[in-house]
Amino acid sequence: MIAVVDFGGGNLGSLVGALERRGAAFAVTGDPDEVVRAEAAILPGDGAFGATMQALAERGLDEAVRETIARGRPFLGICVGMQLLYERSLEHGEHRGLGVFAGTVARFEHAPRVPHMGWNQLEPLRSHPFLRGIVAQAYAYFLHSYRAAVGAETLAATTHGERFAAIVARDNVVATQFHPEKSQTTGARLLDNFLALARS
Amino acid sequence: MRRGSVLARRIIPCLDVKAGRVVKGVRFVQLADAGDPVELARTYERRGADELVFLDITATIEGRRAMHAAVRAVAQELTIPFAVGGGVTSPDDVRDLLRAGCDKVALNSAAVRDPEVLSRAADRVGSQCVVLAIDARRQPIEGGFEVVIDGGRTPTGRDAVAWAQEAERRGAGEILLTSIDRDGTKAGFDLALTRAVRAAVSLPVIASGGAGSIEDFASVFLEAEADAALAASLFHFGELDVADLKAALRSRGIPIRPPDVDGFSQGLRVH
Repeated sequence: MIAVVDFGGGNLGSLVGALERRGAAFAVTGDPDEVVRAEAAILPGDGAFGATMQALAERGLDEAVRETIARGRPFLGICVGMQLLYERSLEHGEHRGLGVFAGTVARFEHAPRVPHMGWNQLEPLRSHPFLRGIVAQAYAYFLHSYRAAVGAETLAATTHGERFAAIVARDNVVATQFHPEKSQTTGARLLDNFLALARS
Repeated sequence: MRRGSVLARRIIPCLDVKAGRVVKGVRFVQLADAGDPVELARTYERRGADELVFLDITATIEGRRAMHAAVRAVAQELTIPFAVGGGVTSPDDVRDLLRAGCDKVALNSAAVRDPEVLSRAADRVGSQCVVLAIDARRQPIEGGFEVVIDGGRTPTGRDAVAWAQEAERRGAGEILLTSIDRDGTKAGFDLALTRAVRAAVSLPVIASGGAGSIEDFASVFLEAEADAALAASLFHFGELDVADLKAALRSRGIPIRPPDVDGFSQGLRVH
């Protein structure tokens, strides 16, 4: 069973629909115990970093997510759910994240338009089971004003005035800055790949 | 091999919804149910639409409930983003529609009447989910563009460019800019209006009103630098197919996401 971490207020309709179409066994839950018991977890996210982190902490979900990751369970972070995996964010003040990845999430500095909104392309940097079937310059749907720099954990980068991390991975954790549930075939393939990782 | 990545300009069909049903007829394909928002949304998705806008033209409470049900149904099935506008008056409305499953909500008249609505909505749900829809009309004597509300019936005396800038300060994440002069004319987008607003803000700008041909889309992207272009009847009546339009714009060198037919048409396979 996959836990879709529900911290209240998130837009889960498309993700739930995508998982249902795939016949995935999943539960949308805000119960930390259920998250920890699950065989895999997805942390979706829209909204501000600080508010989301606070909502997780209020429900004990921050510890549950850390525990899930520490136990080596397959884990997918989406959008703010990816950003939360970094050490900190500078969105509306400075906020601490979960610290799975080193570095700071900061506002675009050189982007021609902010928010970065719409379909942009993926530049795969290395091979990974999560990227199976993903072509260079495949399009994904982005909707964000803050980004993480390209680092050792970056599987694919994207450029919008500056290059930033679009897909990251380390050990059991994968995460996307864009929304796979809104990225048509590219996103479908990534979700399929995550489900395959979750089953293995 | 081309390297790097480029943000694509978007093509956005707009659907009018009344009491949860698509109205003004969509006639371009054989549909089992031409009023079903899910079936229409999926059809446009297959033809390569980058995003959809649903405009709720219902005024009744029952109609709005039906709209929420339609949004939930579309969200479950659609794999591209969609926005909802029409009759949105409060930050609560914005939040409720997002919870129902759309990705962005457009505010229009209510934000003009009380700009604080825009600020509070953005604070509540994040700028990226809040679109400000501006309906603008050319000022024949003074020049410039005036904001009009209530579907174009009520002039406001407000300058469209200044309003777009204020909206950016208040936390809007995108501007949906409709030329009331051009709307329904098929005489082309208002390039001067689009250019003026786009130059005044750093938000993405969706041009709307007046699309009549492939050339109109090329002009609004190449000459007015629009980030996205929206049309309704042109697509609905089959006068222009989204996939054909996108192919033509790509051949002009405009960055456009190709129709995502089989997942392998987007570039070179690397794995």
